[in-house]
Amino acid sequence: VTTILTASTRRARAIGALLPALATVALVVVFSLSSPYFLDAGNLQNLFIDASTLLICAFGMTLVILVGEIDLSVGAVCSLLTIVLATMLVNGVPWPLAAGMIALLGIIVSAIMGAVTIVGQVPSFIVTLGAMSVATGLSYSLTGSIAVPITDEGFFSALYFATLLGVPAPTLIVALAFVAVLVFQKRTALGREFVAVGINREAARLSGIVPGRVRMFAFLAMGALVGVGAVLAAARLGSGAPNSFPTLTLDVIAAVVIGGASLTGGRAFITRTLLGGLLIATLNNGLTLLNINSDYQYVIKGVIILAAVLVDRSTAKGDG
Amino acid sequence: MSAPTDLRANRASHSVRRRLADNGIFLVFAALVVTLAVASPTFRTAQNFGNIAQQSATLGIAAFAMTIVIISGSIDLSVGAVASAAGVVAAQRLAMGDSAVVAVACAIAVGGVFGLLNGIVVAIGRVPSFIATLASFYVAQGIALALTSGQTVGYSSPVFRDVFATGDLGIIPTPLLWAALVGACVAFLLHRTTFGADLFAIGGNATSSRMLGLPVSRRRMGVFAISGVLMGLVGLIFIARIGNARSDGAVGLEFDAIAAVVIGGTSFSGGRGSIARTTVGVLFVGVLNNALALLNVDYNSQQIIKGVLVVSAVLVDRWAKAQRSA
Repeated sequence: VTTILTASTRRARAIGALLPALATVALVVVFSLSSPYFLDAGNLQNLFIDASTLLICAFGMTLVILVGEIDLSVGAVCSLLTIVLATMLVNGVPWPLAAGMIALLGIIVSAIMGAVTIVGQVPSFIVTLGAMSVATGLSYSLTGSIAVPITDEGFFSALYFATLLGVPAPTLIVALAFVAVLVFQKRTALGREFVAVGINREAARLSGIVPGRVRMFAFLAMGALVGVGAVLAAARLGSGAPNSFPTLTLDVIAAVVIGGASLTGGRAFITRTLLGGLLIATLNNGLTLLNINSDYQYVIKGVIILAAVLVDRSTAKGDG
Repeated sequence: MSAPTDLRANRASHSVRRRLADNGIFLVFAALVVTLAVASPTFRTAQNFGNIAQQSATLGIAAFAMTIVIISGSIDLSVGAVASAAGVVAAQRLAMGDSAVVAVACAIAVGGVFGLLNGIVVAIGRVPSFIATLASFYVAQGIALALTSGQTVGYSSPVFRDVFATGDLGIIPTPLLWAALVGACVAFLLHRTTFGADLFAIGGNATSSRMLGLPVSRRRMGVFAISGVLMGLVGLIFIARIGNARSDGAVGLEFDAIAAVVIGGTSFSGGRGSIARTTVGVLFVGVLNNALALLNVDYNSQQIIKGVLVVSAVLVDRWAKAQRSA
């Protein structure tokens, strides 16, 4: 990645930045023409609530991809965390304490993955693929494949039904997470170090940055955000169950990649991830409204990810 | 102790450690087999060894394919989903009354097309292979689900089943023959041809390989196409063994295959590995699966153990690499 950009590269990037927004607008037009329910206020509110876990995890993934790593365990870890949360609530742990412990557990799980990746020098996609296997196995072992229902009314009323000035709690939490990650990345020294480490780890080290620390912090932030995402998911689904999010990992990576992130690091944008996430959320909502078989959603999303990465390839520095 | 002896002792311990790092897997595997044979009368029966061999056939073929992919510095996460899709297509052809030849051709074509697409996206699109093959994993999975509507596809073709799974030649079951044939071909390709030598070079350093004038993109496409075609074969053996096809029949195979390859000691950083090593890795995973089943360890715990094992194997590989360069 060079700092000197030609006019045509700049134009290409500007178009790249606009594409997800334009695609979302196009989808909104198509869906509102083909379903009378799409623009319904209730449906739009649902769209945002359904998107909460996806968006929050995508903010974390943006930081992880920014430093040149990846996390393939999001969906599996999120399922595991909802199970632990539901089990705690069933056993009478007060929900604020339980929610806090889930965020902490998310951080711990992510810290282990980060440590193996950074200290053990194992590629993160292998570490997180292993973690995915472990988390899925644990989820099924803990539950025996049976969903753990949540009955704590206080939990639902605070994290699902509550509104502030008409905005539902999950959407508010997404907004808070967005602002926090954005301010952190743009306005703090550590945040700017993420970009330096992602562009060139060795150069970052030579200029006095400790790349291991920065990469670890990306994993910790990811863990905390996956924890928050899992709490919101549990409030939305009303239970904790294994394999609750079969496409979450794909959706999250898709959101970040559609947002123009480079999978080799150094380039990822929180705001554009938000747009990418809303595109995926609109797609999820609209395809369901139109009764399109969920099987085809796998195909459509796989193709979208590939298309987004291919559009981005002109500015990618990676190889293989 | 005088300085020269010290140095010599040091060098000796270095070389011991280096050999251990390179060949430790063979020791661990031997120890595992001996321990199990002593501890479990069921394990040491001829029939059980036959079972292990048979169950390892599909894993073996997938792992051989994964070996050349990993040696060339890429990864293929789509193998399980592509094998499932190929199996579903073949089973549907058979169920509709097409001949086995047509079914086989369709399965190989499905695998080949996915492999070729993976190759094009990785080699020409310059998309990191784990993301390209993750995307095609979902595409293949979606197609298999849509084709079957989540139902099991039954078929009846005894000849087909015999050729790919249930029959035997002499005392050797057919799936084992297929695995041996694929292993021999891939080993020849990898260790005796320019194509194979190029793969090691590309995996070691793609940029220098390109500067040296090696056809990096073409080789990468070739590797993924071979992987895809072999997944067609794996899909056929899968459905022949069970007698029907499911959309998620072979999903998870990618993980076992990666496990077998890295446990065998093929390096994740590319450029180093062999079919012989992968064969040991496959037998290791096969024996482990068998032992865990004999010990009544459930599938979920097996998944946990394998997850830890894969990451540990890569960690050990890093350690071994440090020993070699020490």
